[in-house]
Parts: sequence; structure tokens; C-alpha cells
Amino acid sequence: MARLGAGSGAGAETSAGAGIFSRASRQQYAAIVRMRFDMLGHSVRTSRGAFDLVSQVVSWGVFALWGLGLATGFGFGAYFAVQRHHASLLVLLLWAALMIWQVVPVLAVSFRDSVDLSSLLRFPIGFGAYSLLFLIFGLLDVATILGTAALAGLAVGAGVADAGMLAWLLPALALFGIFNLLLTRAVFAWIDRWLAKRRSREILGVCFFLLILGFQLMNPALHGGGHAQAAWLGAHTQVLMAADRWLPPGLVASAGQGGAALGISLAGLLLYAVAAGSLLGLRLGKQYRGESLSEAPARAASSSKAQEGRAWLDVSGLVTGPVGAIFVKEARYLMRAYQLIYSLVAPLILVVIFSARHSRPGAPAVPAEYVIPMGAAYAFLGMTRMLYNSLGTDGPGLAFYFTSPVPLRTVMLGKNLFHLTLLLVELVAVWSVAALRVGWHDPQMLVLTLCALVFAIPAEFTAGNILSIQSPYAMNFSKLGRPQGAGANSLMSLLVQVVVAGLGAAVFYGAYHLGNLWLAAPAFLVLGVIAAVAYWRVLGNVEMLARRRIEPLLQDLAKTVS
Amino acid sequence: MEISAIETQNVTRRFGEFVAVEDLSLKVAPGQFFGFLGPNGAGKSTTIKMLTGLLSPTSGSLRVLGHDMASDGIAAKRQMGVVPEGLALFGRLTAAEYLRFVGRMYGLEAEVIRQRVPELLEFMHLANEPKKLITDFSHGMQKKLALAAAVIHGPKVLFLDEPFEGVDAVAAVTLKNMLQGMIARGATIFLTSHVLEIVERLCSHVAIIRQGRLVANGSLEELRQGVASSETGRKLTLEEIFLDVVGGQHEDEAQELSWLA
Repeated sequence: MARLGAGSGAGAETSAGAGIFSRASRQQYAAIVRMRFDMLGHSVRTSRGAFDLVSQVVSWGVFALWGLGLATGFGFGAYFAVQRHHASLLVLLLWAALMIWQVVPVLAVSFRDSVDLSSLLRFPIGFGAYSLLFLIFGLLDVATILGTAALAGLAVGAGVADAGMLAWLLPALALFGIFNLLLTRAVFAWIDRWLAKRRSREILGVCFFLLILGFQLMNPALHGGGHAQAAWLGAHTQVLMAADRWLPPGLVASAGQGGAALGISLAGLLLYAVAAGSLLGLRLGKQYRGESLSEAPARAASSSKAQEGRAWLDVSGLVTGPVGAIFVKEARYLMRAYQLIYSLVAPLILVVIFSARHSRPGAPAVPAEYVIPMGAAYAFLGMTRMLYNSLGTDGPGLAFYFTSPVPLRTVMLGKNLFHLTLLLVELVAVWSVAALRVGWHDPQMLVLTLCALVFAIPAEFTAGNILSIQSPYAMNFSKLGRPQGAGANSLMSLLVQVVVAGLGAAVFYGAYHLGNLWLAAPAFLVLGVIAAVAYWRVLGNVEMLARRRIEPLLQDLAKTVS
Repeated sequence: MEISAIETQNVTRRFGEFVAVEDLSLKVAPGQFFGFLGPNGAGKSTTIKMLTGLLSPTSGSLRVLGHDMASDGIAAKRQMGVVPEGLALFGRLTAAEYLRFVGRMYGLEAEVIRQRVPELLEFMHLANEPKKLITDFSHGMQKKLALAAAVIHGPKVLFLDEPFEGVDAVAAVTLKNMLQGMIARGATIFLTSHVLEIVERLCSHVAIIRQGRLVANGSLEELRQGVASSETGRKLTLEEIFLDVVGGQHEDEAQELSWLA
């Protein structure tokens, strides 16, 4: 008889109440580190995994450059502020650091990898250890790295200008940094909690949209040259400065007054850090106790008449057959994914900003005619995730496509038709906004841009269909951040878009140098024919492409109901 | 000669060096309730995936209702219903929306869809959750919905991968009645399950696969006779047949975790 060991085992030594540095907790940290390394090692076994790793390295290289740039900028800024005795300018730098740390990551969620730690809760892990892990993963967040780089640059710059001030600046900056780290983690934890419920997700989506709109519109509004704004700011400067004195950036700056002011500032910063930590602790505590968030509570049965009403889309004659079924299904998914809706709205906002700058007197001239092709490029940008990861929202439903009597070619055609409709609506909206802002200065550019689209649409859809099968990733609408495995797809789709836009620009440039812009039209039409042929060939072979990758496809996309 | 509802000939499926299914040949006659059994990792899911078009065989051929799955898979799929391992649901649709979607994918007329969807939802006790997204359903509810979707087009062959797992006792009775009704009307059901009592109660024919190879195949009575020939002649349960064929009881005797309480 085989006997596998004896004794009480390690289970008796671990307990949920263990301290964060207890032997049990340290074993757990080591196990998690080992697991992450193992996962990293296994991920490069496949070519796709290796490419994903490369894309992550590239991303981190870009972030490192950003961090270096920020540190340099903040260093010089702090140096001149201190050397020229404009200590108040330090406050502006600190506000900028706070904005980078708190707001930028929310606006650029696609740069943030989401690591779900809730799966650790099935192990006997202590609350302290769980919270510590949550914070450690936060240290690897882009926002924290950029924010830390900014503060480090600020400290170095100020220290070079006046080494003596480091005695108070360093502890104040350390507390400021801790406060920012705790706050950004709390913000993300709470946003994830709101995203987990459909109703709060919808409300958050609207707030998020308004926030973005506010920030995007703030710039032209403040730079609009209006005397009213300047007068308002002048009149309220004293009030703003008095309020700022008690806010974290103001507290750091006022620490330099020494004596009691230093003590008050450090105590104030500590209080802010404790408040942010409590906010985070509240959220983590609920997670730790096994909070179960449902997408939507059960509701009372609605009348069959109402259900019939909602079913009109399925049985209306507007769209028929399997292509129609896919079309309707995609429409329903879009209506329930605010992230996708936001990505469609964002190009419109960009065009508003873009055209506002143009209309500002004395601003760097952006020729109005370029608003048309650039608007088209923005429209494509807004549809990147849908075009290049068109199976990513299907989750386990993907298996249905392979068991149903509908060829995958038809499924992809249905998806492409839906995306084409969206793109056309998006283009009309973008150009309408552009027309309202800057008018129609150049019908020639509109015609040429339409010719360029004859090439760009089949080219991007072809690449999108290939990447959707070769490098898909499961999209999760209830989590903020970039899904696991999205790196390779994002990098490749960006490259394709750069190539397509680059080809378009090259054709324009060539026609411009030949002295006749209209020459671009036939060139685009030739390119369009080539792209259309490529599209039909890829669509015809999509079943074969998918069949070759059916196992990894189902493995990557069909793990959970998303 | 009557066409088999399901037929595999020398089917082998390899994943690199690993052979998941080896030289599998079996026939399922029309109207049979066929149970496909085997221990974990034996090759049941791989077989059902190949039969339903989710996986291609490395070699050999598979036919459903006479249609070759490699060359004429679409025709076969029109007449089959599938509840695969992962259920193949679209989480962000409601149950009714999903059923309407499936109906259209199988080419049903709008009027037929309009009639069958509420009927199926009532039958599966899912009608009182009209706004709930599938992702919010319990596992049992998702399973019932997957079954509803698998039968909406009235398939002649139904493939069910662990259909009763996670389904409550009341719903299980309803489902069993529905499946037996389908058999009575001439449909063929190919089912995998770990619950041997269910297979014993429902299935007329059983095949057992172990390490990718078919080790037993026939009606329950035939299997009983085959296994019992060396025993006392007592009527064996399917569990006894299963353990005898796959050799599970010897493994039970061989190992014990002494440190478990």
C-alpha cells in the first residue's frame, strides 16, 4: 500500500490571521513570486506568448522614456523654481504630479494591465498580506512609476538648487508619494467595484465620459483668450490659494516654512494618507470577506408584450439570416459595453479639441482640410479593439460558431458589416462635427479622403480579421484596464494602422509633389482594388485559419462567461 | 442498409506526442440513447469535440447522419444540437435574446422562433428572469439554457457533454423526461456523464473509453453479460461494470493518504 507522507502538514501553520511578515505570509509571497515567474516562463513557449512579452517590453521601454522625460522636466522645473525663489511654482509641479498619478491612468486605462488578486482569496491568506500584495502590484502600475519619477526629478532638481531644503522636502514628498499610491489604488479598487454592477457601470460610464469631456474642453476654454476667464481667475486667486494650503500639494510646499508649519504639514499629509488608506481598506475589506457582486439583481418579470417589443430587432426584416443574427448580436453587445461606446465617442471629442485649436486666433495653424483625413484616422482609431479583436467579446460563445451550421466566413462577414456600419456612422459624425467647427473649406480633400477610405477600409478589415483569429484576447467589461494577452494584438494593430495611414500619406505627398492632388484618387482606387481582393481571399480562408487555431482560440477566449 | 446516426472509423487525435484518442471506431444507431463513459482524461471530451466540429481528427473519419464531418460538416450540423463542455453561451445577452440568436443561426423562420423561445424558457423555468444577462445566471441555469438552445431547431442528433452537472434535482427530472421524449420521437442522443446512475437509467447503449481506446461497447445487457461471465451471475450495476472495465477498484486498494483526517 502506498503511503504519501505523514504528519499534520503545512496547513496547520497557515491562518487567515497571520501577520504580514509571518512565516506563513512569507511563504505565500514566495509562492506568488514563483508562480508569476513560472507563468512568465511558460508564456514564452508559444510564439504568440513571446510576441506578447516583446510588446510588453516595448511598452515598458516607452513608459521608461516617459518617466525619464517627466523626471527631467520636473527636475528642471523645480531647480528654476527654487533658484529664482518662486517656491509657489513648486505647488504647480506637485499638482501636476498628482494629476499624472491620479487622472492620467484613468484616462489611459488601456495601458494598465489588470491583475485580479481576488482569486488568491481561496487560500488561507491574511488580510494584511492580501492588502500588501494589492499595494505591491500597485507599485508596478504605470501611474505609480510615472508619479514616482516626477517626484524623484522634483527632489533632485530642488536639491541641486538648495541642498538644505531636502531635510524637509524629502519626508514631505515621501508622505505625498504614499498618499498618491494609496489614493490611486483606492480609486481603481472602487472603480472596479462600480464596474462589477451593470447599473453603477452605466452611471460611472456617463461620469467618466463627462470627466473626459471636461478635461478635453478645459484646454481650449482656458486658452480661448477670453478676458472673462482671466478676470474670474484673478478674483478668485486668493480663495484658491487659501484652499490649496490645506490640500496635499500645498501642504508639501508649506512644509518649507519650518517650525510648527513643518509639523502641521507632515501631520496633514499623514492624515491624507490615512484617509486614502482607509478608503482602500474599506474596499479591500469587503473583497476579503468574500463580497459577491452580481451584474444585475433579479427583476420582476416584465410583460410578454414588452418582451415582444424588445424582440423586434431579432425578427424584423431589416437584417435577415445568420448575417443579420450576428449583426443584431453585435449591436446588443455594443449597447452593453460602455468601454466600446466610449472608444466611439472619443474621436468626436478629439475632433472638437482639434478644431477648437484651429479656430483659436494666433494658434499654430492646422489647415482645415486636414481635419477631414485626420477625422477619418481618428474614426479608425476608435474602432481598433472591435476591428482587430472581433471575437474577443464572444467568450465561450465562440464555441457555438464552430458547432453551428453557419460557416465562420458568414460570422465574420456579419461582424464586418456591423463594424462597417459603425465606422460609416462614426465618419459622418466626425465630419459633421468638423464641418460645424471649421466649415467645408476644401471639397477636394473630402473626395480624396473618400478615395483613401476605399483602400483603408478593406485593408484594415483584412488585417483585423487575421489578427482577430491569430492574436485574440478575451475582453472583460467589468474590469478596468488592459486584459491579459492584449499586448501583442494592440502592438500589431497599431503597426497596421501606422502602415495604412503612412501609405495614405505617401500617396498624398506624391500627388502633391507632382503638382496635382487629384492624382491621388486613381492611386487610392488601385490600392483599394488590391485591398478588396485581399479582403475576399482572407474572408474565404477564414474558416481554414480558424480551424488551424481552434484549440488556442477556444482556450484564450472561451474560459469564462464574460 | 440503415445509416448510422453517428459513426467513427479509426479516429485518432494526437496533441503533439500525446495520443488523446486512438483508433476509435464505433456506431450509434438512430434512436439510441448512447452513454459515453470513461475516467478523467480518457478522451471523452476530445471525442465529442471531434464529433461536433470543435476539433479535427488527426486521422480517421467521423460521420453524423451519413454526413462526413470533414467534407460535409455544415449539413451534419444543421441536424445536430450540442451542449459542449463550456456551454458556448454569449454572456452579455439575455436568455431570450440568445435563443432568438441561435434560432436565426439555424435558419428558423421568425414565426417559429417567436413561438418556440417563450415555450422553451417556460419549460426550462427561465422565463421569470427576462432582463437578467446570461453571465449572471447560476451554473445550473446556464446549463438549462444551453440545453434549450441545443434543441430549439429540433435536432435529430443531440450531443450532451455532462448535461446534468450542476442542475438541480427538479430540473434534472424535467430534462430527463424531455430527453426520453426526444428518443421516443426517433432522435439520437450521445451523452457523456460522470454520474453512472443517470447513464444507467437513461441510456440503452454504453461505450467506455480508457486512455483514448475504446474498451467496451454495447447495450447495457451485453456489457453486463460480458463482465458477469466471470462473476456470480448477479445483475451488475453500471458502476461495477465501469470499475471492472477501467480497473478502478485496484487503484483504490493501492493508495491511501495517511495524513488525511
